[in-house]
Amino acid sequence: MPHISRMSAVAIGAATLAVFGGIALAAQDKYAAQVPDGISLSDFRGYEGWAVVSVAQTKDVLKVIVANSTMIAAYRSGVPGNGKRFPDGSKIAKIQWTPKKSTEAPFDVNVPDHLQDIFLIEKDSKRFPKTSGWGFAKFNYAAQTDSFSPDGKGTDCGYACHTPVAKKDYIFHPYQKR
Amino acid sequence: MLRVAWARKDISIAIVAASLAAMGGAAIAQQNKDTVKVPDGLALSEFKGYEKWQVIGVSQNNNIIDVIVGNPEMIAAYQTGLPAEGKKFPDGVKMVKIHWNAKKSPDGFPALVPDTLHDLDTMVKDSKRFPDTGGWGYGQFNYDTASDSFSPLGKGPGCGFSCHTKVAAKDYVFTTFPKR
Repeated sequence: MPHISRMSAVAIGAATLAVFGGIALAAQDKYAAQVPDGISLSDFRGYEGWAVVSVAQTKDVLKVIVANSTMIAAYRSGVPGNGKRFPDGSKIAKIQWTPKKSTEAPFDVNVPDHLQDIFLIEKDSKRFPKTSGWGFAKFNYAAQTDSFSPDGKGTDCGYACHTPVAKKDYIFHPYQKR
Repeated sequence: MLRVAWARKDISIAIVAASLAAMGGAAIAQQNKDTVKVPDGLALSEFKGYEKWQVIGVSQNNNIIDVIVGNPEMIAAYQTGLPAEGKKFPDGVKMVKIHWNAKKSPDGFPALVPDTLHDLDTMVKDSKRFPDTGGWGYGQFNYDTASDSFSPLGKGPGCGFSCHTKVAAKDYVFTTFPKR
């Protein structure tokens, strides 16, 4: 009996370590994701807690746009409406969810269902001189494996799309009054 | 000539007076955010700093699009798995739903984006202060763009209670914390 108990304890200990190890690996995986020849998700570490810039909805997705403190401070000082550009170090993330109808709310409302992807933009004039100082990246999320994978390669994936708003330093979303 | 000079001076005085009035207006609007309060209910100042709180979720219905943000205590509660059947949020958690009127994207995309601010819906948990409404206090502050100021809707801290009773088993919170 003592022997069996000891074996059980070892097994439980091993299982516990495996679970913790799995969690640690999953956490590592998220920020290890990188676009080939492009931006690493780890450049945006902490985006989960960044402040809101705006929200939007299309037919397919419900989204929130958040930015780091450097970029929020620039927005609040009037950029880009005041003709100035966002400073190096500015980072902005667009988190896109597929929508669903709330089954609980007492009125008809769309809420997030599954995470679909995240779009990232960061300003570094020296690193991204050919795309007006901005580097772009997109990571798709797979709910089944709880993992992010890069979409495309390089750092210019969003540049052509954002060129219509070159006058707003290539950023579509204004900082919304709140 | 003298009359013209006086006229100019009058115009100058009028411009200065108008500028001062505009500045005074801005000061009053700022003051309003710090002082607006639901009669016998919540003050917006209890949610000071909400402008930079972390995102909980987003939602959209008809002509309204919104973001729901929470204070660090609320985010911490979400990260322990709340809301869940039978679990309670701790005292001190606060959340704000920022409602904007929606408009079509001005940049030509088939998207809805925020237009003007519509109102703020606020919730705070304090079991001792709000024993009659499940421990939650509710407040709604409507925003008026023309005067850049907020006004309280209704009175007392119970305005959202009947709506939220539907999810009483999850401690009255509808919004979940989606993966990001």
